Amino acid sequence: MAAVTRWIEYSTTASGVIGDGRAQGCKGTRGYSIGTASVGDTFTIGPTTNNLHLSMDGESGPYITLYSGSNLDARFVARDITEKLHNLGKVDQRWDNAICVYENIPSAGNRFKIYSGTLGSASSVTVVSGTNSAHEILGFGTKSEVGGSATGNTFAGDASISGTYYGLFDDVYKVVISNDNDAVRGIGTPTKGGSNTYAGTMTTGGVFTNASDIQYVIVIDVTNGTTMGAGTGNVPTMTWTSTGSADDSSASTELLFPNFWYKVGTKGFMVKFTDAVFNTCSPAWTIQCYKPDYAQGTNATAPVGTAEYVWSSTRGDDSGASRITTVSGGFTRVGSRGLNVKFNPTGGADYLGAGDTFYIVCAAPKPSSYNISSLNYGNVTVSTESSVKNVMFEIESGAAQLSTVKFGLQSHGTFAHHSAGNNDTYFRFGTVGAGNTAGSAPINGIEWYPGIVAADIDSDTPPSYLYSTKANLLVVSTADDSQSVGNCPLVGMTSDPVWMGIRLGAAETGANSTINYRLYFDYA
Amino acid sequence: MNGTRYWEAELANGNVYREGQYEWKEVPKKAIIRLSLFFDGRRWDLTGKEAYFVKYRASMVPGIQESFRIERRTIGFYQGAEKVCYHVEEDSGRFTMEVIDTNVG
Repeated sequence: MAAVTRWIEYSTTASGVIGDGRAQGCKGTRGYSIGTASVGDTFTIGPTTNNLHLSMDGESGPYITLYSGSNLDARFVARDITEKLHNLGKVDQRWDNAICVYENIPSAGNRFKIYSGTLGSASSVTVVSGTNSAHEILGFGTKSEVGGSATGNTFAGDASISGTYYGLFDDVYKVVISNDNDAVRGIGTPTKGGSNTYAGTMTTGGVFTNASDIQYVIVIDVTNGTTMGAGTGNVPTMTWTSTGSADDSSASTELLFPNFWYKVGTKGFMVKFTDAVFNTCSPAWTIQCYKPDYAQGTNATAPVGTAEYVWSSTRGDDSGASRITTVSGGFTRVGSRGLNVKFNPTGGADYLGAGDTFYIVCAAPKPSSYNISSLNYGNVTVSTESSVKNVMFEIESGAAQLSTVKFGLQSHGTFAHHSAGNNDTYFRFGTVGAGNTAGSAPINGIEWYPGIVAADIDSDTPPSYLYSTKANLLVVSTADDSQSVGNCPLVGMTSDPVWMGIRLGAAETGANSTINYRLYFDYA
Repeated sequence: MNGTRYWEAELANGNVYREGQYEWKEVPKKAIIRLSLFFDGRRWDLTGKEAYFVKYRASMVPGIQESFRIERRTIGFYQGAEKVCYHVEEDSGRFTMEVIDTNVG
């Protein structure tokens, strides 16, 4: 079975964009559209089914043209939709920060969900039919569309954001005022059911927000399959119940992918599982979730300067067991990828309340080109460094899991002074990404760093913002001798980005030399 | 599919799914009673396991789909949180076993 792959090029200066919901001060919720018709985990899109017609916050955009292919991975399709929305060039957060995800819906299981990039009551998404429309294939033949809502915060003021987003993919940070008095981010320690033989690791994520505490009971069923990664119809399923049926699932969710976040309810709680054998059991896990009680100490409200907050992102960047105290008039950190937030009261009596919620909508750096088959370093003068190039590898179909990615130099072409022991030619390499992050605590979740130059990858010791570098790749012929590159299952089967460059030796002559890199990867 | 190198899954009802005729994801995994790897006349059989998997190692020159090649074929089974792998290198036919703790990565 041949996995179908592609390579994507990024400009080294590409940078993410952080959004406050389009002048909404990070308040309110996003409008969305869910395709509720039954869909699988792969999608075949062709020339008569590749247009998606939709509007954001009432503005009709030109349709987007989706990537065509057979049996495309659902996560790949979701990210393609997101990137196409961003590439419309609107320079408007409605579109530039819109996000499509493939995620589980309590009433339907895994579905496509398209969010507007804005927050508040004007936020909405409408998917419509049109010429060569993809909406039926993607499950939008029937749909549920819910507009954003205005904030329910106690705090009358708003929030400002600053910083550079060092994430590689889109993400949304949920910032909640809480001193976490009951449990970390309001999510208690899971209790495993007595008949649950799962030997893997279940990880909880998110920030729980609700007006009351809820206990969730997760139930696993292996009628269709006992392990993830086996394809729709062949994997375990998950349902859940909740205290007073306040937030139950009404349909089962297929656990399609290991290490992929699945929502439990609608209040912010999510889980992921490592790749191991499940068994049918009820309860599989019981988790007590707690509403945010206090903003500070035992005070339900507190002024900016003493109120505390926690956070979690849709991709699992969270505050762990720590929380941060707000600073009057100043920014404080959110997440591990370069973001900061400042709370702006309307007056001295405007206090932050426990459970007040703010969102930061982060758009990823945009790829510059897709399906690249070559990179041109241009004219490079001897004894100097070339420009630095960046590429990312991904599987678009034919697999459900990517792992053990390695990158090596297969041939140095006609370069005669590579590793010749004199004024050598060097082939530079560096990487960081969602699989292997970098940075120094607390900013240690760096997945992308804009502005990488040759001097950043000319040593075997990486700078703090890269995971690894190699000053000189040698010609190799095996995966074992190649450089390790991370990978991530959350938005497709993607490798971490790789930065490359060449330094020409002083004695190098000739022109138009072609070199080959080779990438090794495991897939299933 | 290479004609002499392929996996084959036998189900409890006697049906046989073979690489090249079916994709692995089409195989009803719960019904498997035997998973085999055939490699140039050699054969490895896995039976009596709770869950099975198939995996490949491949390589390619960036962007050149024609350069895609299989480097290693793997069949295996789950043992709790461990994946027991039977690897066969495509070039040499060298066989190795590996146990991966999926909780570690």
